Amino acid sequence: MVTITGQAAEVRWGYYTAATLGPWSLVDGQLTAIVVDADTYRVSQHPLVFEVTRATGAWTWPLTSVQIAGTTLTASLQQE
Amino acid sequence: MSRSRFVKPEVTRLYLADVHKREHHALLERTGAEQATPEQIAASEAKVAQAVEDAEFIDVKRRLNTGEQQDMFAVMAPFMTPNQPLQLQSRQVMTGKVVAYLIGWSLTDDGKPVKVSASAINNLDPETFREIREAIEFHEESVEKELAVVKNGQGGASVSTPPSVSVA
Repeated sequence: MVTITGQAAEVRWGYYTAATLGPWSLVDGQLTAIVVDADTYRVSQHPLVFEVTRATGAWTWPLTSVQIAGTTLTASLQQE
Repeated sequence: MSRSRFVKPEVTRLYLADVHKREHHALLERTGAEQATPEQIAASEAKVAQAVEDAEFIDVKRRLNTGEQQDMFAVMAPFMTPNQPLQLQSRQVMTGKVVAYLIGWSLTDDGKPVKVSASAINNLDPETFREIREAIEFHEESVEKELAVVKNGQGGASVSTPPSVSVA
C-alpha cells in the first residue's frame, strides 16, 4: 500500500481553483483532504485535477468522483 | 439543447507578434498625409521580424465570468456615486484588464520562467506591457464580436421575437 501525504494542495477546474485543501493523504488512489475553501459550482464541474505545488513545478492527477462532506473531501484518482 | 450560460475555463494563446503584424498592417493602410514613409515601413517590418523570432506568447482567459468582470470593474472604478460620472483610476484601467485576463506567458527572466502575478506585471518593461495589453484588448473585442454573432443567429442578423399577447 502506497501512502503519500502533504500539508496543502488544490483541486483545480481548468485555471480556476475549485477547492483549497489543507492536510491531505493519498492511499491507493483514494484522496482524503481537509477543505480550507471550496467553490461549490466549480467543484461540481469536470474535469477536476488534484494539484500539489512543488518547488520545481506541480504534481497533477485527474480526479473522479469528488465528494465534500463537511470539511472533508474524498475523491478517487483517475486510473490510467 | 440550450446554450450554456456559464463561463468555462477556456484558455486562448495569443502571440505578441500578432500585435506588431496588426500595427504593420495599419501602417500600410495609411493614406494621404498620414502615409507611412519607407523608413517607417522598414522599421515596422523589423519589429515584426523580431517579434516572430522571439515567438513570445501569453495565455489568457477566453472570457471573464461575472465575478471576474465585477472584480475588474471594482479595481478600475472603486468609488461609485449614484448619478455621478464614473471616476476611473487611470493606472488601474491600464493594468486591471491585463491582471483579469492573463493566466500564463512564455516570458523568462535571466532564462528562468516567471510566474504571472500583479508584481511580475508591474515589473515588465513598458513596451512588453503595451504589447500584452493590446493583445488582450484585441482578443476581448474579437470574442465580443463572436458572441454577438452567436447571440443574433449565425448570419449575424438580429432576430427579434414579437411579444406574446395574452387575451383576458
